[in-house]
Amino acid sequence: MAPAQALRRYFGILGALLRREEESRRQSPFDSIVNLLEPVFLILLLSFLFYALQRRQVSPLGGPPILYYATGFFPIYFFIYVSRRMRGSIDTPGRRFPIEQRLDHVIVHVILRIIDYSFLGILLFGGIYLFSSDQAIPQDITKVVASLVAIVGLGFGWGVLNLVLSRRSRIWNFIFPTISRILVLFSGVFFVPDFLTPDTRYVLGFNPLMHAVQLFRLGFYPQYTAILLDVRYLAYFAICAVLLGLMIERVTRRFEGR
Amino acid sequence: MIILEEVTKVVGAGGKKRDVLRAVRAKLPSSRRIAVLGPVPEDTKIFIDLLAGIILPTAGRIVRNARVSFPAGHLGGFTPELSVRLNVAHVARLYGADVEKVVDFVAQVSDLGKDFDKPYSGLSNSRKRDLSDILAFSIPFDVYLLRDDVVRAGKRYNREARALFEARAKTSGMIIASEDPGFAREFCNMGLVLADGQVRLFKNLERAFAFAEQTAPPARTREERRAARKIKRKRRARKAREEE
Repeated sequence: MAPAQALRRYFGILGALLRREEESRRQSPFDSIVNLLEPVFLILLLSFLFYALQRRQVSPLGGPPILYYATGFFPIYFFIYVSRRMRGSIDTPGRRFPIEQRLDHVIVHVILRIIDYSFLGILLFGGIYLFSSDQAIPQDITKVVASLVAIVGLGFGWGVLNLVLSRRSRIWNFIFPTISRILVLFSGVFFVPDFLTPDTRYVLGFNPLMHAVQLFRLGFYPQYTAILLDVRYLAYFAICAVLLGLMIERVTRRFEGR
Repeated sequence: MIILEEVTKVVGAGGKKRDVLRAVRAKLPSSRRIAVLGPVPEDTKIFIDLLAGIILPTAGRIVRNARVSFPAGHLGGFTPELSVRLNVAHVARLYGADVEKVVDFVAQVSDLGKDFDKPYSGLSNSRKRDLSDILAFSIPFDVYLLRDDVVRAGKRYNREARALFEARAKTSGMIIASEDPGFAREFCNMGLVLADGQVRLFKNLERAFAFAEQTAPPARTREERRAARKIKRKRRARKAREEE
């Protein structure tokens, strides 16, 4: 088969899978809406607490607190949703048609999450722009997009690891979401890493997600110094995560059979 | 043409471990209708699943230079909560077939009536198998795979389904694992004998049958002999008790 023809065929398979997901989602729209509203709910709750407890109207980086939390939670939840629940109909080869591979399902999953979060992002930041602050339109859109691309890479690698290990033992199903949620604490969503002591900063600097969040915030707050941000570290980490994910998927394919 | 390159398949675990295929090299033509024969019927079914790609070989590679169908009657990959119509359209799209044509055709042949627009999960298991069988044969493939234990190949459940099967048999290749020699003689023009971890192709079907009869069933291990004896003893005891 010629490469062009093979590629067209492959995209046909991906398209069919995407369309199927879309159709089954239309069957139960409530589930996906609830999934998407979790970060929105958290952002609103925390902003409210911020107002109620601190009585300051300004966040650590200036501007309204709701924008501060939105710029922190949005990238983190993007990561969590890309990486989680990659399983599903892809449990065993016997439960799908031989033409669809496990990787196809993973790719479709990631594409769907990207589409979901593009809509959510536009609605969220558009809403903040309308009701709260002019700052909600990113000053530097390339930084925002670059950060999200890196997060897709990280989420893909983490998700594939999740997928493979949770087939080996059920315990991973509990461990992985826990780790993902703990990451929220250490990724600089609640605090600004620049204001911490150098020792703490050094340790936190190993967390690639923290860099992604910083980069994302930098797109909204141009005056933010972000001394800890290392774009090259983030980029290398994301590329390695993608390659590692692909490798793990390929290596474990043989053991996947029933 | 389906090419097997040093394919090894080990099934079972622990003491029941055995080789279905041992470093097999073979070329299966995609224009012929091949009956898969062998002393262990279970192995011929594993062979079909291997060719389809539903199970993967332990070692080696299977190259498919043809459009190979999913085994007719295969139930994996359907979405239970979607309607039968959407499921059929999805599979047709997946295999790059003409979606409208396939959906119309399956709707007509499958005799589902109103159930065709109801969720797939509502169908009974035998209906699901029949649907998957018709679906497989309504999509144009170069090679069709068929497992006799899933769909009784000789007894299609209505005339249209039977006609469809016969029309495909004229134009495409097939690989059939069937325990019914009459059916194999009717539809196949080539034989493949799978015995002792090796594969032999025969252009002449009758010679394949003769060879398959020669191959003895695999020798039992000591444990298996002992277990068989035990079962026999129990059966005899039960019979004796019933007679009392």
